[in-house]
Amino acid sequence: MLQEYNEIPSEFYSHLKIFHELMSIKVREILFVSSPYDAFILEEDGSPASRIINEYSGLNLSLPPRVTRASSAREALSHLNKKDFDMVLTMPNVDDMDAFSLGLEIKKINPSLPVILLAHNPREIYPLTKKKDFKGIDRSFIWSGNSDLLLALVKNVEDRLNVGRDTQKAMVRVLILVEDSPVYFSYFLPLIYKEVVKQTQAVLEVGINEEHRLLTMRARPKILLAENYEEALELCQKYRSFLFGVISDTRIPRNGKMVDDAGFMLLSQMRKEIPDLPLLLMSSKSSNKTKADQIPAVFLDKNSPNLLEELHNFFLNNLGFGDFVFRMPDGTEIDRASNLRALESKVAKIPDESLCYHAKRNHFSNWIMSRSEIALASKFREVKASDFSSAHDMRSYIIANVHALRKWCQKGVVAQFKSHNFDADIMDFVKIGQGSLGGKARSLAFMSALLHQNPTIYENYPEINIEIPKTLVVSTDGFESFIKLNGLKDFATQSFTNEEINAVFLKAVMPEWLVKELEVYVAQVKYPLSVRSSSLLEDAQFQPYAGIYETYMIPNNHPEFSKRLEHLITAIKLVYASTYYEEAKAFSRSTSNQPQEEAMGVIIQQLTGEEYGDYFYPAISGVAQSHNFYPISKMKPEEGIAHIALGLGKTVVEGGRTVRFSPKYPSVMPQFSMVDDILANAQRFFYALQIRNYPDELNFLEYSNLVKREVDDAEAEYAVKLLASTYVPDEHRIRDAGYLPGPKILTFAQVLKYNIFPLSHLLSDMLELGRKSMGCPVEIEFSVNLSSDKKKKSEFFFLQMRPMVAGGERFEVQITHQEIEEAFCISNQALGNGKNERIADIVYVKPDDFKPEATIQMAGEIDKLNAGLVKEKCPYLLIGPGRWGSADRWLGIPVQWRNISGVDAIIELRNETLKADPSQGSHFFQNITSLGIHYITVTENSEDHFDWEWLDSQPASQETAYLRHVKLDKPFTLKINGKTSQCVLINNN
Amino acid sequence: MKDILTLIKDRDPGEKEFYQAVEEVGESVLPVLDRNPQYRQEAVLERIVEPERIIIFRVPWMDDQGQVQVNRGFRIQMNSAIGPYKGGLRFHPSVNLSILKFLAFEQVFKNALTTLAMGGGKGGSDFDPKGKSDNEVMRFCQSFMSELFRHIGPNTDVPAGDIGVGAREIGYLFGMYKKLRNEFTGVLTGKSLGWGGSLIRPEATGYGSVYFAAEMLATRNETLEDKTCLVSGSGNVSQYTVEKIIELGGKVVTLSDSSGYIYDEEGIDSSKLDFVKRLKNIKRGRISEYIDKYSEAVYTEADTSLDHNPLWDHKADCAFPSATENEINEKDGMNLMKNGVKLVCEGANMPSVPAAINIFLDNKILYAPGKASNAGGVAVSGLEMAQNSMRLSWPAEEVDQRLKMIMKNIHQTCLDAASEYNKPGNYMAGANIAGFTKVVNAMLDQGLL
Repeated sequence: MLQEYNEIPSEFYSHLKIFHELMSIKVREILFVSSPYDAFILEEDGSPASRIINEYSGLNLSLPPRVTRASSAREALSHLNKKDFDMVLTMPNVDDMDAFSLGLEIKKINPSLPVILLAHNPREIYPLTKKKDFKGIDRSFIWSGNSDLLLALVKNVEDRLNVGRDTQKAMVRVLILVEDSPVYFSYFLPLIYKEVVKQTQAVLEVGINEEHRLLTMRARPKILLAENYEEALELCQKYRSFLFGVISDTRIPRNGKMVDDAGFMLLSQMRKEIPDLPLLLMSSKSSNKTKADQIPAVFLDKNSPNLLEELHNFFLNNLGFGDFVFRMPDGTEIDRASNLRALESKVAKIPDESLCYHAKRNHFSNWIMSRSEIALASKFREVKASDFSSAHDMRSYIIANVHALRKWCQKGVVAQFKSHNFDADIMDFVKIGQGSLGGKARSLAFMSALLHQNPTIYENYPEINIEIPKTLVVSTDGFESFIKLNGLKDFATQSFTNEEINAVFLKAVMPEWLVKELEVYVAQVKYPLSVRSSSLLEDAQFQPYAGIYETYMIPNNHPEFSKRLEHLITAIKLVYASTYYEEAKAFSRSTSNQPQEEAMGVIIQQLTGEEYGDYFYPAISGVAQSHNFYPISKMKPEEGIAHIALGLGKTVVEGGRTVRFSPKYPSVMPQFSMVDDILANAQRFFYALQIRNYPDELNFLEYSNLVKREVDDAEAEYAVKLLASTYVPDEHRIRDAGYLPGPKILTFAQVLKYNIFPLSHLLSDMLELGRKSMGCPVEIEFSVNLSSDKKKKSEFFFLQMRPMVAGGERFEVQITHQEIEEAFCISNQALGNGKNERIADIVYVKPDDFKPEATIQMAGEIDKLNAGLVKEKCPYLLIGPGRWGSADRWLGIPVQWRNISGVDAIIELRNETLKADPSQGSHFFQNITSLGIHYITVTENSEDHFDWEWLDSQPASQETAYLRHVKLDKPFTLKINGKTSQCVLINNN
Repeated sequence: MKDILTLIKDRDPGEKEFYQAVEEVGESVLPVLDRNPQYRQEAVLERIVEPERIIIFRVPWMDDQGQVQVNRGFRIQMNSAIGPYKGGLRFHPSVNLSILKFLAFEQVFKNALTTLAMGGGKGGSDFDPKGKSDNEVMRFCQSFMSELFRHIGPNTDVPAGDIGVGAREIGYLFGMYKKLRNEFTGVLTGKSLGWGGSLIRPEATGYGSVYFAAEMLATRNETLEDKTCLVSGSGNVSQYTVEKIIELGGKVVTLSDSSGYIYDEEGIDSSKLDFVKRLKNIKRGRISEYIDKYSEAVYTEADTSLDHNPLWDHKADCAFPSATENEINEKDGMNLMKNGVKLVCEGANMPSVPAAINIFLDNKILYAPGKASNAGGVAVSGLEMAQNSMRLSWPAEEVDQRLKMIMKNIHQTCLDAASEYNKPGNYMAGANIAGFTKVVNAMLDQGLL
């Protein structure tokens, strides 16, 4: 019965979906029929149309209806014949017909179209000629100049039309007003509507966004008007299960006659049927208060000078719109809660007697229902106090559910950060400032909404918490204000080293308004944080600036508040500084964006992971792509590929040693086929954040505060024990268990082979969801915390999603046999598609001079040659062995993007010297492919071919220790067939 | 000799690898044939190059997707003159008849040299374990054994592991054999320790090499005590070479990998060796990390532009090249000699180029060729068979003692053969001749089969 605190009840999944389906019938088109005179009078304070619009916007309601005016019955009928209307509002006197006859005519055209009579006084509703047929008029109201009435009668029509469906669909509550006098109901109805709308809005949980607010408003109570005892009783019976309250006049018609205490009888009957139903008896005779007490019901004197206030009090105190007042069984007030947050914390403290008192009377359910939180209100209504073995259990149940609801309400929502009501525990996604979120944060917000709208992913993995880490975004105006305040604009255009930029930015001052907001944030947030960029350009479709800017991690647990704040601010400054790093500028140039166009949002995000002694890291982090550029064995390109590693994701995005697998065949790991392969390819180092014993000033500029640890040193830590296998040297064998004595080797076997965590299925589903929602292949970053406590769920964090550039084949490239014969290079593993005839420069690592130990020097030499070629605007082909862009110098030449920014095509040679797996998965690779750079793999001793003899025989334009630059007279032809991945390079000289 | 080659080329066209092996062995045993006309008379060469039996069979198996796959299985039962066929199984796409025949042929003499009762064989399949799941590997192994089982047995043919066949595969193969035969016997070597495997397997080659070196020194009334040793490489063979040298009182000052080498003048002691073992076996790190931990050592990055390997240019008494082929060139040979090295004992396969070997032989430097000094690995396979037959598991010390005895025997056999053929102290000639004569004599003893 009891649920875990962190568990989201499944009924909430469809919560927002329900809202979308509510109030499906809306009054959008109103035909307003009035004589020019009536219209004149009405329009003294603006037209009915503008009054309605004002009312709507004043109450934050959506989509005000459109009003079409007709000044005669004839004109009105002609409108009705031409166009569909949802409601007709008519004044009593139109020149050629009275309202009653017009009503009958209208009903002939459309019997279900509501016709409302708006009279100036009661006489016009009850005309002298008693023979009039009233059937053409659905409801009559008295216009006393109060524009609220217009809104009320529109809403009342809508309520009548939707009540049946919405109560069935979402158990929406029903408030019944029993009043026969048009004078009074024209007075009360607007009051009640306004009160309901205002109260509902007032109690909606803080911090949610506009869309959520409007949707939730649809679940406000419906108000139904009954003009006599029979009608009232019928409504009460029909909506008995959904009744929210009944407000009745004492003297109302019964059996066609006015009966003095018919209202009293009605309410007495309802009290008997539903003992805790809020009831209000109204009367113009104050003596009827004794009758009200008898029921018992709240009494309202219609002649009271404080009528409005008394009605207001009824709403607050009886209908649950006010504070939740905790009372002891004897009625003594002991505490109050004004919102769900307070309710959750106070329920934990009140005495058992009070808890039982309220639970037995459905007070919790009523109060929650008035907040339109239908699912939880219904859930509370369905369980009885007797279902719980103790008050303690009941208390835990209430707290867990309210907490889960609060969390759930925040999901998929970007809330504006407000210092006074920020709640770090509940608010998953908040934004500081009014500027843009930036590309990455936008995609995070999109993911958040995406998950929210696809609840099946939660339903399919009930044993896992699937989440987006809690996120605060400092929108771009923070950056703009910082740059302006400190006069740093020049850094966009002038050339400085990264160190110079950092030094100036670190000395610069953060705008005061931003510091104030960050103070509130830091005061509440105690977990480690990652601080990274969200540039306007980053991760934009086809221009993923993946990993071009810096990310900083901070432990955020220093005992001194001021230090924690200082760490956060330093991190933000450094992220801002990275906008103007040469790396980012080079990338901007190659994508033809000017660096000065850059405006940077900053994402401050909960760092996902667990504490292990002095360190903090996730058990698994990884990148998954929905398109596999290197499908080997039985893999197919569209089945995708994933790369995972222990610890923080730096290992994966830098292209370090990771485990690569197809989510479709997780137990097939080509690089882990034999024991020697496993030993050679298993991850040795991982990144963790040091959360204890770190220097006060942290270590921002080296590994962004991260520590590079050896897997070996962490073998006693739970994540390693669980994910590692054990090497048995005597048998030269690896056993898939981390708990045996012997050295630990990270194989992730427990997850990939034995499915203790359904990572591969989850990734397949996520990639499919991402691909469908973005409309192209996607790459997602994720991390996993594996719970060591059986009672606690493991967690999957969705960290980032961006489009991949693949399958962009617009035209088919034919490669002929003759071309294959003529080619100086043939590859069967090339990325991209198309023909390129603009490259005449070839820079290559001299095969005989290549030495794995000299890769750093080679990177330096490439940088110099690149600079020259970029200056001359000569796109070039770069050829070399091993994994391009790897951070591990032993796996390939560790170039960064800026070292090769002028490249148009790259050849990765795979041979015995460097047996690295291909580069995909790293940010470097993502950038290469997204810029449409041809990426060609040539594998020695395969069907691939490269004519070294020809290339070596060409005169060198430049030569360095390890490189040779050849300039051909004419560009060569490069052709890649994206479907077959075949590529040829043909010399045209 | 030429006749033999022509014969096999005509009979088995396209088996290049096999021709090469036959040619090499043939040349090395020419003096034996010259001295023993009986061998020619009895056509021993013609007999020895023809496998006693070749089994080629279909290995159908089902992959994880339910798709039927078919591979080809092989077992070359080359020679059983001195014991049951013994040799590894290789699972690799490059496997074909020629390669397996070449390997089986070499195995016959390697095994003979150990002085243990082991014939020669080899087998395998063109199955590629790369990119296969555990279940697929298991299904393949079971299918493979469902044919092979009828051709092998503890007294007939005892396969071991090789490329692509490790402890996992041996387990699956053994399990299937046991089920089909309904008997638990030592039909495979390389088993896990819990069910029939032997101790001292990883140590065997390195230990064996040092035992061999000690025997060589003993011929000059010397021991390893206080000897300064250069060891190259840092893998299994090098590590256990260092371990045994330390145990026998020597001092090792170098270790290397492809990135460079370290020189530790104080010597690599047991705790430093433990660090290296972890670094190289588990972490697969670079030897350069040694100096991060032990700052007294010096790291020299590999420089391919040099015409020599500076590792061999240090004052020392003994050298144990245990890294890779051709790691000692002529200049290195000269350097070793100049630096006073008295013994070169090969842990790797053919680490010294012929010119370097000549320098050693010309200068009376004790030189142990890999085929003799690194036979410890094969020897322990033989010891695993012995333990299985006795239904006993010897403790490490006992296996080690027996390994020592075997190396001593190999040493003596080589020495005897060399002096018998007028090449005293030439262990290379001795090894070639001893292995060959042992097999051939047994064949002759057993008649024309």
